[in-house]
Parts: sequence; C-alpha cells; structure tokens
Amino acid sequence: MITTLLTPPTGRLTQLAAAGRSATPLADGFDWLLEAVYGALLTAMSELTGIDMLGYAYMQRAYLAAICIAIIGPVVGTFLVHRELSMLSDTLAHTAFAGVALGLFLNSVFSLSVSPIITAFVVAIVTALLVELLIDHADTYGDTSLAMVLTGGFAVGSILITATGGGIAVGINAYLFGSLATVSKTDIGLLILMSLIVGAVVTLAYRPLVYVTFDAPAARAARFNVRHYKRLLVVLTAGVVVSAMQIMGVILVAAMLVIPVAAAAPVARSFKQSIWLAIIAGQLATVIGVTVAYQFGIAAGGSIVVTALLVYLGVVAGRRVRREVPLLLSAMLYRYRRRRSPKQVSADGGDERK
Amino acid sequence: MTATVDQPPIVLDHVRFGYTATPVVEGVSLTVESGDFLGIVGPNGSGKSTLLDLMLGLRAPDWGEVRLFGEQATEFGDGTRIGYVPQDAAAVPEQMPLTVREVVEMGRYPHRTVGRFSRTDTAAIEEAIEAVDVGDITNRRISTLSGGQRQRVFIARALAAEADLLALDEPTVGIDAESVESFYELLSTLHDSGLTICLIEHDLGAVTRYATEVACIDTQLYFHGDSADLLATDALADAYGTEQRLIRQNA
Repeated sequence: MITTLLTPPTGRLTQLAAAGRSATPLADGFDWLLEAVYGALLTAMSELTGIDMLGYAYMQRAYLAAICIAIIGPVVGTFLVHRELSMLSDTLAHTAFAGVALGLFLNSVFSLSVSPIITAFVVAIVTALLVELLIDHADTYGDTSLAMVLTGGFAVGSILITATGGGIAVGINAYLFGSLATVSKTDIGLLILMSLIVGAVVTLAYRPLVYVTFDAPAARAARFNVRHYKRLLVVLTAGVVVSAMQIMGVILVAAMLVIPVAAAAPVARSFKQSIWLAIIAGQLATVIGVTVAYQFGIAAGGSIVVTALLVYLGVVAGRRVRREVPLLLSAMLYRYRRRRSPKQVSADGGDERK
Repeated sequence: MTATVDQPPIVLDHVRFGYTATPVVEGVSLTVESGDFLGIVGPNGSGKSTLLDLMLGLRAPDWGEVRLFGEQATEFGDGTRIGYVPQDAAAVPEQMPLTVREVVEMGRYPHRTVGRFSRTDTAAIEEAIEAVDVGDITNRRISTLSGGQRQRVFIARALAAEADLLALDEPTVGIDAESVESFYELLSTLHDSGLTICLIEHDLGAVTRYATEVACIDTQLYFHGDSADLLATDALADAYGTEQRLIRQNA
C-alpha cells in the first residue's frame, strides 16, 4: 500500500500530467500535491474499497472541486443570507455570465485569447460593488435592484453571444449548466485558492462581518467601517460565484450559497455553529450529488442542488416531527383517557340552559 | 486623548441637517454633560432619530458643529466609548442563529477585532450579562426572547464595551408596560453608576419620570432642561401643535 502512495500510478494520471506542463515551482508543487498525494490517496482508497470511480482522475478532481465549493459557498453564504441578500449571489452569477460572454466576444472580435473566467471575475466584481451601492441608494427596494441587475446581466450576455452570429454560442452551454466531467487543473487551483482566501478573510474579519450582518447601524456607531465590510462581502461573493460557476453552472451556482445556510439556520445553536453546520450540509449535498450524477450519468450541478434541497427538507421535516409528534401523542392519550372515564364535566361548567 | 476626560460627551452647536432642501433639524444647540440622562421627545417625523445620528457622528451636519467627547463627531474614532441601540434593533428575524452571548460579545469587538478574548474581555462580558440579569439565558437565541429581554441584551452589549455613552432610539416600542418599567429601572441604575444616557422616547410619562433632562424637538429645539420643568412650560404645546417658535433654555 505504501508503495502505491509514494509512486503515483501511471495510466489515468499521465493524461492529467500531459494536460498542463507547468512553468513555475509553485505550479509544480501544486501538481505534485494534486497527483502524487491527493490522487494517489484516492486511488489507494479506490483499490482498498473497490469503488472504481475514486480511481478515475476526473472523478478525483470532481470530488475535490465539490468539497471546495461546499466550503466557500456556505461560509460566504451565511453572511449573505442573514443580511437577507440571498438573491445577490444569483445576481452576481448572472452578471458573471455577461462577463464570460464579454470574454468570448472580445476574443472572437479582436482575436485575443483572454480567458473568459478573467473577464467574468472583472465584470462580477465591478457589478458587485455597483449593486452594493444600488441596494442602499437606488430609489427602489433592494431586491428590485437585484432583479434588475440580474436580468440586465443576462440580457447583455445574450446580446454579446448573438452579436457574433452565433459563433461563440457553442461553448456557452458549459457555463450555463456547468460540468463536472471537464474540471481542469486550473479550475481546481482556482477553487483551492478561493478556499484559502475565503478562509483567511472570514477568520480575520469574522467579528466585523458578524456585527455588520446583524446590526449595521450599531456597528457603525462602534466605529467599524461598515461600507468597507459590506463591499468585502460582495466581492467575496463575486469570487466564490465565478470560481464555482464552471462546475455548478451560472444558473445553479447560487444554490450552494443559500440552501446549506437555510438548512443550518433553524437548528444551529449559535451563529458560529451555523457556519459549520452549513458546511456539513454543503458537503453532504455535493459529495452525494456528485456520486449520484456519476452513477446515473446525469448533470452534476442539478443533482447537487436537488440533494441540497433534500437535506434542507430533511431538516425542516425533522423539526416538524420533533415538535408535532409529542403533541399528537398527548392528544391521543387525552382522548383515550376521556373515553375511559364515563363521568364528564361539560365545557360550560354544567350551567343549566334556559 | 489627553483632555477628553473633561470634555462633555456631546456638544451640538447651531446644527442644521436636511435630507432634501427642507431641514429636518435646524438651529439646534445643546450640550449633554457627563452623567446626564437625556430624554429626547417630539412628534413623529420631528427629526429625533436624525438628531441622534448627528450626535453620534453617523451623519455630518449641513451647518454647525457636532463634537463627541471633544472631537469632531464624524471623525471620532474610538468605538469603545459609544453603545448604540438603533431603532428596531429588537426586530430580529427568527432565522438569525445569534445567541444572547454572541450579541453581548459584539460590545467587545471594537476592543478586540481579531484574536482570542483576553481575561479582561471575558470579565467585561460576564459582568455585562450579570448587570442586565440575563445570566440564565446566555445560550438562547436572541430571536426566542421577548422584546424586553432583547433590549436588555442590547444594553449588555453596550456595557460589555464599557462605553461612556449609551444612546437608544425608541427602545420600548412594542414592549409591555411591566417590562418597560423594569427596563427604565435598569437604565436608572446604570445612570446612577455614572453612565451618560441619551434616549429617544415617545412615552412622555416614562421620560419625565426617569430622565433627568429632556430635550423637546420638532426640527427646532423647543425645550432643553430639567425634566420636571418640561410640563410647566409651553414647550410641549409648541412642539406638538402651535406656531410659536421659541426656545426656552434652562441654565
């Protein structure tokens, strides 16, 4: 077993290695970790357990991506959901789509080779800052601003795609619905980087973020720069949405920032615990979702989101049962006792009616 | 930071503010001395909340000057000295998982934004929890508490900060009469121990009973002085009804 761990198995992994010859020591180190450590570990697990899919490089990458998404989504989502800004993640995902379209458009018109992910990042972050302004200052409700930006982003995206005579429409489906089978090493690197950034930022700024989320006016009076932390949160959201977009799809990515948080909120015993529970709910959703998607050959994004919803429904139903069953039992007991005792005092206290 | 000890917590000097061209607060000058318990009263839309925002440096005046502990209010940087309970603070959504302890701990955040709480921090938090008598419910979610209990928790947040100035915006709205009474008893105790309190209140009875000073405003300042004197003047009639524009200032 030890030899398996130390020497990376060839065959499946060679295609992975050939896919990108890295130039820097950092990238080399990352490749080594991904293949010789993580890949070998899962391959060993696959041989031990007899679960084939753990041995396939693309499935190994899919699981790693899923795990990362189920960390960064719920962590950032917790602050969004409790600021009642769940729709912001969806809005930024749809404007990121405009960013992807812009990248593809620029590449096709000016024959550049800019990665659409970069333009997506730029557009999403710029819109994030703009939306933050709009929520507070537009002459309309906050969620109306979000709905306008969401549809606006998608509209611009669709215009850009069709403006080139359908030439760039080919690759757009992968962005709309996402794909787990084609997770590249760059995607994984991006997600791991995002996980590190989210982890570091939320650890360092946890207290101001919680304060601003719960009571922004009091946080301002306590001299926290509220605007600064609100911006930080929307920029983080943009980052999470774009880095997870290629796997989850533009249309579904917001679910990972919202559903696990909604599942955790009713049962958590504290705010901090709600973040951990949301991560657990997210992991359940993504790992089961990816597995089911593989087994039945269905879209991974869809099966992850449906699993997440099932987790949420499970929590809600569980709470219902815990609350209702004792009530039901005591009602039955009461009825049973009433039937056994023949003498009844009527509800009106036995007053004579005239 | 040398002379701030002797500086009055709040000084307003001919302050004017308007969201549009029409002023919401105009020509207001008043000083809150250290140890005051000031009740701010006035009709709906009279600019009470705006005035409190101006006092705390959360808004900049169009005209005039606001000083917080001797510094220009909007530039004031020491968040540990101010405890603020905004309007509707108690309206916590049911889904919010924050516990009583977590909310009280927020008072300590300006002292320690990153890193573990020190022994002093923890002691201040415990003391604050005891002072408002919520020691037996620290692990409960704030959303499961009654309105009166929630307000006590917000007071504890300010106490944990060891703030010198406590500002509250209509804290007793929607709270039953009995809880209001015990809430004011708590504020009185805190005031006796030296805390400066500024409070917006719609219930004139409560203000005149507990606050030592009252400011009656309707855009302009109609009365500022001893709460016992408020009813003896025409200030209430002026602010709440007639056209008279006269400032009475008790020295």
